[in-house]
Amino acid sequence: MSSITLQNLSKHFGRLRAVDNLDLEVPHGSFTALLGPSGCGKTTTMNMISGLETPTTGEVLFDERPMSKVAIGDRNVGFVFQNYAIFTHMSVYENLAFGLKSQPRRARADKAEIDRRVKAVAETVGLSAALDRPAARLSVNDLQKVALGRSMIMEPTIFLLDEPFSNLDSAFRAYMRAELKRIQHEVGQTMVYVTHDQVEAMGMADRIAVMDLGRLQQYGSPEDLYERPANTFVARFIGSVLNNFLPARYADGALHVGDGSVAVGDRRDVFERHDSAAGLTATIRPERVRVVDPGSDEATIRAQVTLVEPLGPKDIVHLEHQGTDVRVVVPPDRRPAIGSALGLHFDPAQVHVFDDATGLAVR
Amino acid sequence: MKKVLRIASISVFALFFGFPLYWVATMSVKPKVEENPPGIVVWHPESPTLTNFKDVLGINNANDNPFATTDFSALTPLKNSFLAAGGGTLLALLVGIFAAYGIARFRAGGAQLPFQILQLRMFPPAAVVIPLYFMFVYLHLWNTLEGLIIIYGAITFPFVVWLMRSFFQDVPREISEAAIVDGCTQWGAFFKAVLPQVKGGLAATALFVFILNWSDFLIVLVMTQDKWTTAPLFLSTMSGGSGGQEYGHQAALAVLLILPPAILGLSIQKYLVRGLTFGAIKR
Repeated sequence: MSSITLQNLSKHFGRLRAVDNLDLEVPHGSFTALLGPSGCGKTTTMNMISGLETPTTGEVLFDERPMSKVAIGDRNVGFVFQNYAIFTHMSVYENLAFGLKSQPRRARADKAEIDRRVKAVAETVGLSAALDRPAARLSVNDLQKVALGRSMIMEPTIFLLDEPFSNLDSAFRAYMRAELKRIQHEVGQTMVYVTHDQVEAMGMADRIAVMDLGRLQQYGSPEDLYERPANTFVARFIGSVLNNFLPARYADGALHVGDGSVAVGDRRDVFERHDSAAGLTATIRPERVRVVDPGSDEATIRAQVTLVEPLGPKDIVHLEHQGTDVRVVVPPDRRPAIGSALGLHFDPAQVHVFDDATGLAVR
Repeated sequence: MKKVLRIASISVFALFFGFPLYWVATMSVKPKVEENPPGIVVWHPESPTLTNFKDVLGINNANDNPFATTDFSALTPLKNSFLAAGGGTLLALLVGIFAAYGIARFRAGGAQLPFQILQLRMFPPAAVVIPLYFMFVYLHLWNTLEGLIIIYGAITFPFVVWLMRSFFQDVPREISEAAIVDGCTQWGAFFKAVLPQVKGGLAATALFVFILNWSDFLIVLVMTQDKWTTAPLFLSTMSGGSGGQEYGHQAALAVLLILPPAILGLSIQKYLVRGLTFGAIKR
């Protein structure tokens, strides 16, 4: 096991700042996801951890030991590439054994030991029956298993996985996600997982580092990101149903959202102190909006239903309020008619407010 | 209907390209009297014989050979051809593969280098062969095997770079990175992981370059004399003399010249196809 520390890590390609001043602490044995849209610097970060890229500035440390002078092969990391990087001129067995056979002669395991480890890993990833098959003839799903197995066989202290499941069909992806979580639990090693899919990150990782434009946006548990987004980027990026963003204004001890108002309670001081010259935006998760009778006092705002997306276990209802699209999740048996008016109740504790100028949460 | 048209057009092309081959092949086994009898066309040999081949390969004893005064044995030129074309191909591959990998993987030499290398092929060989002659005489490389190998290697080197560069570019860089993460050196990753991935391309490139060198006429004409004459040049000297045009012997040598590239091509056929379609890696 190893912890990973990134200190002021930057990587510039010419004028492009792929990664900009990144500080990150990945604890022993944790499953950490680097999450962000494509081009946010997550793969570059991963490559700097593995040693495939040299940082422009900053340092990567494993267990507080600087890695800048340590060769890639000596860092003891297992890497799973997005396109698998399987050696198609070899059999599955040879692919799995490749790392062991590539060690310097004095450190190399003997043939029996290699054989034992190849078979053990094949068992773990479910390839025992395919060991003799040429890798060129494997299905995409099996290629992924080989890639996973090849990274495991060196018994690395750190696993780095770069969007390993993005090419798989969705059923097998779900299966592999569970498999990977099981394997991580079994080997108990530190895993860093790059993905642009927030569902994948939320479902698998203990901790998620959200990145955008080369910068760290927020680092925390999935609950943190979902319940307490640090800025509008995280509020928008996290969540399987797009978050609601409503223009807001603080006046006279109340937060005015649309044409309704939300009590601020003990957050009053925060708003009083905040210079809201640039305006505010309030968010509330579609799952957390409660549908009430439009005539009821509980209704924070009233809105017209414009569209319903039935997803099976739940419906996403789109409503229009003062020109803004508001989304609400309801059970299918409560599906409203299009054009009908609904009352929406916003629980003050679920409403997060962001400053329009900085995008940061007002707390 | 479409199918019929396609088969018909393919047949026409096959006939067009196949007939000269047929003519050379049959000519090579015709006895002297059937070669070019006045007023008759001999479409197929009446009494096929291997005499032409035996003469050309120098295994006829002098008594059986009606043209014993003329030496038809192409053994030495054939051997020269193998050495010069094979050596030149090896040299071009040896240098070109590394150059191609450096360019494809590390952009060695900048964006212009591939074009600068290709530019070496932009002028016709005839334009450089005269200065090369003087240079090689001065360097004592004229009429030597080493000289031929160096020229053949230099002339086909740009092809190796261009062909292999595109094959290397099709190998995802993750292939070499994966090998490096697994503990290989940059060189180890190249030989163990990358090069085997382009086996097909390498075979195709080697064949292409070998054929170019094997069929060279101009360079060997200028750069050698008797001792290092290669087979194509020898073929051209087989006419004339007391026997007039030696169609049978020429055809026999032509068949022998066709064989090596043809055999090589057939033996690496599966790589040639793979060379065009490889890439089982999802991108």
